[in-house]
Amino acid sequence: MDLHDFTNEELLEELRQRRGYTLQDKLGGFLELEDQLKDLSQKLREAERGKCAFLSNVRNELNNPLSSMLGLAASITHRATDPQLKQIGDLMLRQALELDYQMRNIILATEIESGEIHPQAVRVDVRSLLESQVAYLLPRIQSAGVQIDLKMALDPLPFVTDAGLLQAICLNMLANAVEFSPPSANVVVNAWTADDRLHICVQDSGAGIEPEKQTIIFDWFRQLDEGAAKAHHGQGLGLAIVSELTEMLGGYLQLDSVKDAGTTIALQIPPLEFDKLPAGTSSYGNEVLFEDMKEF
Amino acid sequence: MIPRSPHPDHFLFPSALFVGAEPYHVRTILGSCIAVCLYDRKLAFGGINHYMLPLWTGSSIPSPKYGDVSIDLLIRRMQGLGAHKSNLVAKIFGGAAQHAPGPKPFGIGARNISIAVDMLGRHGIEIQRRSVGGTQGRKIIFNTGTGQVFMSYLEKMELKATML
Repeated sequence: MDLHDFTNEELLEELRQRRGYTLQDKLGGFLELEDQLKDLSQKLREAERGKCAFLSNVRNELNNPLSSMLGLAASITHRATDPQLKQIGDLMLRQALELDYQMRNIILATEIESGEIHPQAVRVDVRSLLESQVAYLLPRIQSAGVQIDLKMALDPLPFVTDAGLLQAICLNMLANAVEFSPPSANVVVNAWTADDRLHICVQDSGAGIEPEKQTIIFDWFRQLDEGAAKAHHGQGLGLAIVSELTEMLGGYLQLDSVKDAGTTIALQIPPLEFDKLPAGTSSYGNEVLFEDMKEF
Repeated sequence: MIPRSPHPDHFLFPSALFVGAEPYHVRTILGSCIAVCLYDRKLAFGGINHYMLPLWTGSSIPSPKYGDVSIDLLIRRMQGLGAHKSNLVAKIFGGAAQHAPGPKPFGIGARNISIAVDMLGRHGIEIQRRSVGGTQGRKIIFNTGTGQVFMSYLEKMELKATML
């Protein structure tokens, strides 16, 4: 059979059918591909939403069991009469606190990384905030054999700032000083307000830092002694967090360190203004905000 | 005509991002920093960042403090809520030369502006309006529901070191 056996009409009909078939076939393929793309896009959006929820979920999922562990370990330590059991309780408490401290920093670093730090102004008593952070670090302080000397008046030291962020800053400044102090050394902590600004100064008598290495300590995931044989634990996040949060609160840090003579980290932050509260309902008064403003 | 609005307020701090699935009035104060306001014309929602430095250099946390990290993250957050780049328009503000009189082509303000222009161009997002450069700080309010931005210049005294 060759082409001459078909009339022109039959050939045209055959071509029409084939063309129609392939077009339909291709169209079907495209539609299927588009559906797959839509599916994929939907999944991506869900994943993105999931990622946003991830942070708060992780915080709860980790914090809840950790809080229970901390509570249980503290209860064993306080109630146990058997010295061996008491020792186990102590050890559990120390390990759980260590885990809690590391988790707090990891979660904070993730929040900084995702732009999710939204400071909120509240009135904080800096003195009791510092005392609570010393109390939190007590197991670490005791095992390092270090003394913390809070050189402050007994009166409350009120200051308007974000309590959670200031707490994280103080905790890391203190933990860092304890970590790098030799046994039986003194860590001197001082806090005061001057010209409306809060000053906190933490002074250790550790090994000090050579001038050329002084900027490294604020880098993230960096410690002065690195590698498998490093003498200090942690991920190198503490001072990076202190530096980022201080800057977010509009303040700055000053490092004063002399090799073999200790390190002083001094912080200065301005108060957060109440009108900069990040979220609130200003309801129908908003037109005041726009006075003298030009629209873009 | 300035809208009278029941929207909640959000004050955006430096190095943070805000994407409003619901309409918000986001306020921020800029010196040499830049705020990129993105608005999806089809879905009628917006997001804003506030970055302080142009580029992440690898030593610190790769946060939205840096323009390159911040702009990419803002676009991703918007996409996460269903935005398409082709529907996005941008308005950019800030980038003032703060610390000395006279033009400073390589100052932080100028470099912050150029990273915004460069990155938005690379993402194919049109810059619809801009008020950048100069020597004065700016105060802006971004309505995430309409894409409108209201801006005024700050008196020198108003700009505190906190809001650079």
